[in-house]
Amino acid sequence: MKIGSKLKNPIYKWLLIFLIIMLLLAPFASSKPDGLERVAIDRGFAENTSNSSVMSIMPDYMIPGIGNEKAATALAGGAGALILLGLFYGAEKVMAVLHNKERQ
Amino acid sequence: MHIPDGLLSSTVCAASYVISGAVETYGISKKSGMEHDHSQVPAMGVMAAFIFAAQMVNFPVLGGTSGHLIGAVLAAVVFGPWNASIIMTTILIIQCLLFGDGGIASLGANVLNMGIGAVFSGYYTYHLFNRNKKGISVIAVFLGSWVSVVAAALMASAELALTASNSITFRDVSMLMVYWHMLIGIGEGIITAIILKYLARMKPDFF
Repeated sequence: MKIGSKLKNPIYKWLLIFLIIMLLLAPFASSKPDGLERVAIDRGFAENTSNSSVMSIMPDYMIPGIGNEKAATALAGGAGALILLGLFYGAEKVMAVLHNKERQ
Repeated sequence: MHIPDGLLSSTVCAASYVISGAVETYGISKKSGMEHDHSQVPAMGVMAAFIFAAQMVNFPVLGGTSGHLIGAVLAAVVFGPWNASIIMTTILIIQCLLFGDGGIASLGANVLNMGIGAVFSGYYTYHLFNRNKKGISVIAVFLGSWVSVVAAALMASAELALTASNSITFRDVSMLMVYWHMLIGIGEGIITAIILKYLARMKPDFF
């Protein structure tokens, strides 16, 4: 098994730089249907799609209430990225606490 | 390739939730190595954040269709397949709950396709072709990434065909799905190879 190493590793600095590049590119992404949507349209089962009953906070990867769609997209991407960073960072903190308790 | 709600029958949804749930539980408890060492978890978060952002960047393919990176092989080459599976699953949960991308009922199927199928098929294909044990072979990364996308498309086709209300046969839907994802997979392969090659140059002893 391969364990990716610690945050000090320079590859994570580069991944963060690539992340920012992706956030800047996201507003200019193609809005054409993706492969699955294309097949669903061509084979006539796209109309079976139902909206999820649970409300999503940022539908279509845009922060609602921001007039500029490009800015709303880039910000939604930034929000999602921060949430994921926070989730993993928080999980590590929880694991550290549990680990210490086990040792005592 | 995020399947929205309404396209899969409740049986297919339930079955894929059970399989994905079992695989992820096994992965976290037995294969992630987190029991002994969890220091890699924040780094996994950086990978997850990057893949999430990269998945927003749809690139055009032929004829008014687009595709985006899945990132399964990228994560698997850096963290191994089990931790990559955890990364992909977390991304899919966030996309489903906060961004409405992929249905909630079909989350199990999306995890099965992109969080498990793409990761393991792509990683082991990469492994098979990576003769350069001390570094990263661009060809192996490209092939692994391409296979990961096509494999996920095949799994999605099976789930769609198993849902009777779609009135499509597996043969028909899989031919179309594979056709489009063979093209999208080229993008996956190129992006993954560029990123991994770049990261390997920045830190050659890491890989």
